[in-house]
Order: sequence, then C-alpha cells, then structure tokens
Amino acid sequence: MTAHDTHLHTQLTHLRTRLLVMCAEAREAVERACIALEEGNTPLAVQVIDHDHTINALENEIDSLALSILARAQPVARDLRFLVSTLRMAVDLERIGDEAVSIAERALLIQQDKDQCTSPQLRELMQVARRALQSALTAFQQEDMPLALQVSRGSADVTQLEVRLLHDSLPSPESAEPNSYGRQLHTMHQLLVARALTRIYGRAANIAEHAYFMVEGTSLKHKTHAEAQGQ
Amino acid sequence: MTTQSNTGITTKNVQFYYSKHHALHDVSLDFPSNKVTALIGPSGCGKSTFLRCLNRMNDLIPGTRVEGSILLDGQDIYASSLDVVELRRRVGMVFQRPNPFPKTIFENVAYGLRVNGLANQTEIGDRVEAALKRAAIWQEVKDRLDASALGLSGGQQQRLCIARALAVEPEVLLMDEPASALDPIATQKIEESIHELKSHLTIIIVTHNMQQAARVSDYTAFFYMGTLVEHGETDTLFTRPAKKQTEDYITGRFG
Ligand SMILES: Nc1ncnc2c1ncn2[C@@H]1O[C@H](COP(=O)(O)OP(=O)(O)OP(=O)(O)O)[C@@H](O)[C@H]1O
Ligand SMILES: [Mg+2]
Repeated sequence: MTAHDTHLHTQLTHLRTRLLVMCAEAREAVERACIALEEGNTPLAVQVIDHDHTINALENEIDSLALSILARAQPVARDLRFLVSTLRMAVDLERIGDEAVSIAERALLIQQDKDQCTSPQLRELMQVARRALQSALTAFQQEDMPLALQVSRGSADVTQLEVRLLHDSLPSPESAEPNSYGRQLHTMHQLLVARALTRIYGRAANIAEHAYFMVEGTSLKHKTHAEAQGQ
Repeated sequence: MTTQSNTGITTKNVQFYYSKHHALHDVSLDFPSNKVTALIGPSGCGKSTFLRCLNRMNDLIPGTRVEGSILLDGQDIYASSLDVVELRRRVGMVFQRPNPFPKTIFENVAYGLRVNGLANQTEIGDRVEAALKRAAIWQEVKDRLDASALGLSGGQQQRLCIARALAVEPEVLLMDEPASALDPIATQKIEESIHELKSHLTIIIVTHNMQQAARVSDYTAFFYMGTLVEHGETDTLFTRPAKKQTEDYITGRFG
C-alpha cells in the first residue's frame, strides 16, 4: 500500500489551512478585546470591531470550499468527518468573533467612565474563557482528545463563576456605598462582558466537541464523562 | 413474485485456489436475507472469485479448489448431492458486460423459464412481463418485445439481463460490477431497481465505485489481497471504519 496525494486531499489541506487562519483570527479578536477592556485601550477595541468582517468573510469562504468538496468529491470516513467538523467550527468561530466585538464595544463604553475598574471575578472569567478557547483550538489542531474532554467538562465551573459575578455585582442591602447611576451602568457593562465571555466559553466547548467528533467519529455532546473516558 | 426470500448465505473459512495460486484466505462472511451487501477492494483482491464461489461458477474453471463451507439457507452448496443447475436458478448472476442472447427481447427473458420446464404460454408471458417490470425496463420495451435484444442500448441490455436473471425467481442475486459500463442515468436506474429488489431477494454486488457501494448497500465488505479486512454496516464503514486499511482505501489514500 503506497500513500499518495489526490486532488481531493490537496483541496482538504487547503480547507484546513483556511480554517486554521480563521481559528487564529477568532482567537486574536478575543485576546485583543480582552486586553482593550483591561487596559482601556480604545484604538485596540476599535481595531477588533473593524476587523470582524475578515472573520465573516472567512466563514463564507470556508462554507463554499466545503460545499464544493462535498458536492464534487463525495468524501467518506475521516475526510467526511473533517468536513462536517469544519462546517460546524466555522459557525462557532464566526460567533466568537461577534462576542469579541461586543466585548470591544463594552470596552469603549467603560472607557468613558475611567474611575471604575474591572472586578476580580470578571478578570478571572476572562482568563478562563481565553484559556478554554486556546485549549479547544489546540485540541482540534493537534487532535488532543484529553484536552478536548477537559474543555468540554469545564462548562459548569464557568456558569458558577458567572453566577458569583452576578451576585457580587448587585449592591447588598446593608452596603453603605451610594448606588449611583454611574455605578449601575458600570455593573451593566460588566455583566454584558461576562455574558459574552460565557458564550465564548460555550463556543470553545463546541469546538472541543467538533474536534472529538472528527477524531473519534462519535458525538461527545450527549455523553456522560464516564462514557467518554471509558471508550 | 410476492413471496419474500428469506434465504441468506453463510460462508465459513473459505479458501480458494486457482491451481497453486491461493486467491482467497479464510473468508468468513454472512449475507443476511433481503439485504444488499457490497464487496469492495482493489483490483485483483478476489471479489469476483468470491462471488463466483457463491453459485459455483468457479467449477467451470479447471484446476480450481474450494475449502471451507458455504451454506445457502443452511444447506451446503458444495455437497455432492446438490443439483448445480437448481443452485444457479436459486442464486442468479449478472455480469459486468451485458450479455443478451441474439434473440428477441421476449425470448431473452423467457429462455430460463422454458429451460426450467415451463410451457404454458400465458404464464410465460405473465412472468416475462413481471420480470421486465421488476428490472425497471418494461416501459421502454413493452411495445417492441419481438425486436432483437441487440438493438437495445447498453443500459437497457443490462436491465434486460437483470430481468432474465429475475425471471426464474432466484432467492439471491449476484452482481459483478453491473453498472461499470453504463452512463449515470442507466446506473441510477439499476441502483433504483436494486433498492426495489431487495424486498424479494438477497443481493450481493461487487463494485469499484465507492459511492455506489455507499448508495445501494446495507452492508459492505472490504477485501484486500484475498482476505476479508473489514465487514460491517455500510453506514458505519463509510463514516468511521474500524481498520486503518479500510479508511485508507475508501478515502483514496492508497491504490
Ligand atoms: N481464471 C483464473 N485463473 C487464474 N487466476 C485467476 C483467475 N481469475 C482470477 N485469478 C486471480 O485471482 C486473484 C483474484 O482475482 P479476482 O478476479 O477475483 O479479483 P477482483 O477483486 O474481482 O478484481 P477486479 O476488481 O479487477 O475484477 C487475482 O490475483 C487474479 O489474477
Ligand atoms: Mg472482478
């Protein structure tokens, strides 16, 4: 048996390259949006918003490449699983780009209220979401299934973190601090950022699942951890 | 016609030799009734050889030898008491190249019935019509049954050969690359009739066309160099094959 490269495999390699570019773009958008928020960096926030069309265009490009390969080459087995995962990943990556934009928009608005700083919980959530996205993308690229499982398992912790943040953001009844309009607004922005981060985590978990499906051929989505580990 | 075949074939540890050449190694494979099984694999891997074992067509080649057991509906087809002519009626065959007799369309299909002792003209006429319908060619030939079969197109000739095989009401139909010489429309017609036919019979099809195997079969068996590498449900085999060799073959990574 001699391995050889067919036209189909050249096309699949090209598609994979474009998908990896989209992965890098989406990750970069999230990184920049978070830095813009943490550092109050307005130009960086603007850059994220302006750059989003690149990610949208990549989604379209990947869609048509994948559809054309499906229609013309009727791939099977791992090639088919790769294509299905790619189509699903492109959807999640595009949404991640949108969440980065909404973080960047908050960064601009929070900017106008300079004396308020981001809460420690929000900074923690930011770390967790960024790390999850990075891990999911690595799991996909390197077909690292333990890493994929780890990302897909972390969703519960993130929800807890968000709930804690929500709780801490509300003024306690015995608090002496004046509940100013400015403070309320700041809280609102923080909650919206938290929402965006939680959604990014959710999309990262999806990506981990797509990676798992591509490699193992089975869905991780509705499987218990024990089952996923046992196989 | 309306009777459903419940005949399956079971093969166990089949070895096949062309004189000294060991062409099949220890093949054990079950063909469930009323299902389509596709045999795939690179050229020379033994698909046709294996198919021909199933109705003893290899007997016609001098110097060949079969070992192991092949059971049709539980009955050993290599038993000395077995009537080979009757076996080939029960297990029909369609070849790669359509091979109609140089006779009328009607006679091509009626021939097997007459050989099997049927003399009643009305009954022969009914069964010819039924067979032509099941092979999805009736509409195209009903007005010219007395014309020569050689005047039909390749795709029509192939469906006529399927009708000829079906006329004697086999329980199993063996097809060796039945559509490889046909255009896409004729191929589609044959594939459609395969879907229809399996409610009546068990079908085993050899094909080089991976997409065809994926489209028509319930089970797929992958052969490589005379051995059965993998066998399973077509859905599974084409989405997540168990063996790397199978994966490499169906994704076109070797050949
Ligand atoms: N009549 C014969 N005499 C001797 N050897 C034969 C004969 N027919 C086939 N063989 C050999 O047996 C092996 C299997 O052949 P077979 O025709 O069964 O392969 P196949 O899988 O049907 O190939 P293809 O896809 O090309 O039709 C090959 O090595 C072939 O050379
Ligand atoms: Mg052959």
